[in-house]
Amino acid sequence: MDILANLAGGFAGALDPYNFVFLVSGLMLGVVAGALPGISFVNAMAIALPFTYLLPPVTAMSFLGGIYVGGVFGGSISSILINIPGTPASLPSCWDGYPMTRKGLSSRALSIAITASAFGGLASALLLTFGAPPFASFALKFDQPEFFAATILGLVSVIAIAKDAPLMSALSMFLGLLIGTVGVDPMYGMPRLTLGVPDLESGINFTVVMIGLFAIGEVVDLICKRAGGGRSITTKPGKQVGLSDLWRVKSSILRGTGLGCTIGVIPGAGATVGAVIAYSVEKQACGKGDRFGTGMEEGLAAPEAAKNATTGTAMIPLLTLGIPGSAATAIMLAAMLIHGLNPGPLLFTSNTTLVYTIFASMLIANLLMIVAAMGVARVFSTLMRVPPAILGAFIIVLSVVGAYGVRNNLFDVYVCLAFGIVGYFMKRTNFPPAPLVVGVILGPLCERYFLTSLANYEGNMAVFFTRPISGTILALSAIFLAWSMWPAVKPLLRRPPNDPTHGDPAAKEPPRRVLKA
Amino acid sequence: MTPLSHGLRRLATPAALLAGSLLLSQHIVRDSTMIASLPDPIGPAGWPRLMLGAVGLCALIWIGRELLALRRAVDQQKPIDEEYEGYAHGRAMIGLGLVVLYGLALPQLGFPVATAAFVALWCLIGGIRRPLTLALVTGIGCVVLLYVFVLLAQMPLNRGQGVFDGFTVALYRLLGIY
Amino acid sequence: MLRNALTLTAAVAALLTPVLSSDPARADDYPSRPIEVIATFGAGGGADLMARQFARLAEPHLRVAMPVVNVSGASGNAGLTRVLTNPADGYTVGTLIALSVSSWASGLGTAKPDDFVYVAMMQNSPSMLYVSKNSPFKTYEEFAAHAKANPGKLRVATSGYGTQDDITLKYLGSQGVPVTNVPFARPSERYASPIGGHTDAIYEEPGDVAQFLKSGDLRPIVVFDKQRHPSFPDVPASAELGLDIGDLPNFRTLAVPAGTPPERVQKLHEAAAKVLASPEWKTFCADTFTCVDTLVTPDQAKEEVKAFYETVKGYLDRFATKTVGQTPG
Repeated sequence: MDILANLAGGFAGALDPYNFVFLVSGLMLGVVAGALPGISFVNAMAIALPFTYLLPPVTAMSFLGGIYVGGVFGGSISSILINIPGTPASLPSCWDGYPMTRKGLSSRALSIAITASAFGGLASALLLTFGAPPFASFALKFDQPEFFAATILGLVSVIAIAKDAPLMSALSMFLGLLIGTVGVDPMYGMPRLTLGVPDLESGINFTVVMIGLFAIGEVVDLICKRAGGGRSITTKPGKQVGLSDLWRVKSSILRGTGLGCTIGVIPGAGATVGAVIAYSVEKQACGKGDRFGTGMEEGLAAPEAAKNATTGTAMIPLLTLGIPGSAATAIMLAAMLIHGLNPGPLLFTSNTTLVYTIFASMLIANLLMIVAAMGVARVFSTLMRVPPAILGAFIIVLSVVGAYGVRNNLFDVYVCLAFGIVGYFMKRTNFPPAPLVVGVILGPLCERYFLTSLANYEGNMAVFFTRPISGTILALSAIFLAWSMWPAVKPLLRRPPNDPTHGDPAAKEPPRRVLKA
Repeated sequence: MTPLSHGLRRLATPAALLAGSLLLSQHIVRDSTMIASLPDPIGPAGWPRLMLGAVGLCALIWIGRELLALRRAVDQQKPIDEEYEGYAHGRAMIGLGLVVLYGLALPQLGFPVATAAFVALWCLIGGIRRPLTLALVTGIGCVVLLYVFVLLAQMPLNRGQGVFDGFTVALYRLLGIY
Repeated sequence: MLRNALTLTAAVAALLTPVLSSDPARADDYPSRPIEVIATFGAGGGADLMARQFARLAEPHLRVAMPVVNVSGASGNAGLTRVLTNPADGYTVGTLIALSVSSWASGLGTAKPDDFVYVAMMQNSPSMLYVSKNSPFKTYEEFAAHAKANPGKLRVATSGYGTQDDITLKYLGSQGVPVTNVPFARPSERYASPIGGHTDAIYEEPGDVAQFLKSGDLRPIVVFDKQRHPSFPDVPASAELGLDIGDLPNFRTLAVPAGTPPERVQKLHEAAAKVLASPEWKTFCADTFTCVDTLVTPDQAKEEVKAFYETVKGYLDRFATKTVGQTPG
């Protein structure tokens, strides 16, 4: 087998001490950056980019690959421990991960998250190694209508997660979609909803919104709950996980991995969308959906597996076509171009060693991640013993730095702080903030795909339904929406006429907090 | 609080959302004549208008639901969230105010000074009262932040205006960052 | 508690005072601290690569660190605003490219060509029209003939309406070659669409699609310029085909705010000249098909930018409302 011989060469390259040291340091850096609230792995990769120019290309790519793999996981550490997603992709990990921590099961939650992530990442890296060319041609079949359908599926998933409060989730999501339209439009470059503020022409970035909504409210609560000393976060070790425990969530991990691998190939969607869709599918599929949000292991394992499963497949379009689908892969493209490497089909023949070393590095990174992540998670658990006031102060500083670092723009800091205040009140009134963040992420994509599709197909709306792949995805979305809404709609239909408290969701006080955040 | 006034208060948010979306739909683009001249039926304003409509519709349903609930206001109770028992509301407001002040102070005082002041004040309202702890946390924390983000990550964080700019540059020189 | 913290701050300030007072910005020791290079587009794009290559190669000449900062958004105007609001002390240099200038002409942003001093004209290249390797069209003539026979049926991937891309396509339309403009805001999606067979051609500068040109996935059929491009001797220039649209080059300059002390601009210009003459830069610009033949002074660069601005404005007026938004078919 040609591929195996190449891969053996790749492993030799990746395990070369010099490369290996950079791979491991990238991995550690990624996990730490991901875990710090406010600082995302995209920040870390952008920051590391200038350093990679000084390294040989193979080492540079191992280093960035390490940050990518580690960073996509790292965000979950703060999601699970303090309910603040370290990166947008770790948003769904808050929903069942943090409740586990509150039950005193933090290390169990971390172990499950790490194993699921590593499994997803490994499967995805294997797919990258053995399936890159066919997967690449599959990705090329996707045109704008297909991307549009995929984003619709993502949006539908958001509503599907919130079974008990579909109205609030829908409102939150539409607010997010609306926020996503601020700035210049994708076709004419015309500023919209800027209300005369020039800074708004660049739009409102989703990372900034997420940092604001999640970090600031949580930190304010940190010093205000239980009048007096503030609350210290419980990090009881909890029961350790054995292999048998992991075996129980195997189908969740597998479902998450499958979804993540597929979604990773779609440009623009990436880890966050993968994790959200995986969570909502899992909620329907695993049979314990009604208890999701209370610390279900399935609800943690599936999105964890999915988000890391996007890492390997996201590199397929990058390496085979030279097309980056996400901010992280765009940075990798920059690193390759600066080194004079042109990703594309030629890369596989002209730089076989490099390509297979990248593959091998991705495989190794996902294996090593288990060790690295455990180590960092332990350090972070210890950090949680720091008095909440001190912890909170630095989380806010990091959030501000992180919001600033997205585009090196002070205006983003103001946006972040404004959303911090909004988020605080949303939290107090049980208004779900997560659909809003997903809306801000998917809104601009959705609009762009929609308008470009129409421009490309003579303004014909039917194109979304008549193209086989996009039609199928849209049909699936509709079925999915109906399926997940059924439990909420059913009682309304069967409401006995003289029982006022039964079917009306508003009469049930207070609404259950579904999207724990 | 009477159930009625409570119910009215609950109406305020959706009503504000509805009014806001109606108002914004008139101000999507600076100059609507530019849109009118485009033959494109959707154009730059189409998608935002759709989203505003969706937000407005959701708000309308919300209002409807609240009105229904208001009719049955007899058994309406103020929701009690056990999570917020003994919650220091005043302190939360001070905290939020401080966060905003920090943001506003950043361009004026520069990152190092504003951050040091913010960390110290935040720890103070959070109940850390020992001067030594305060000084150490602020001092070491800020120096570490500066080394990581200004020296290593080379982020162009604000240096402040006027005398603070000079101070920040001098501080960076002292720390060996510049 | 608070007082102690204040005392501490005062102590640090006192400690720093001597350093502080000895630091008025003296022109002769410029540069004495890092120079921020603002890339006005995201990582991986043409402006970003230029900024990073420049910073890397100029650091040894200026002997200070030159961190590259991506401030992206609003066709580069977010970053340019940053350049203009930072002090005009030569410690902030930004990339200013043709796309941003044409966005001013179409009403975006608040900057004008006169707001900047142009340190150097770093890169320049014409745009081209490409088809995928499987395309039935071998030459521009075949492409044009098909477009004539099937008005609006051929779809060209571009960066948006009202851009240089759009102007060129509208010009082609006015010359009896009606094609449909399909805007793709994301470059990566724009490149993928003709390769995946979803559009028939793509308008782009060669450097941005270099990897697809090398792999043969994209094939240029016409270069919009007065003469052929030295790297593509077989591709006809638009002027040869009787098309008068060779005046929309994709230049990339480095700019500082107007009001920057001239001697500092001169230092930056000298460093840029050394970079442009270095073998590394020569390889880089050859790889991206963007070499600038002659060194241009800051004043000449400003004239070029202003002329470009007026050209774009002229075209926009000429094609305004008549064909905006190109109704297909």
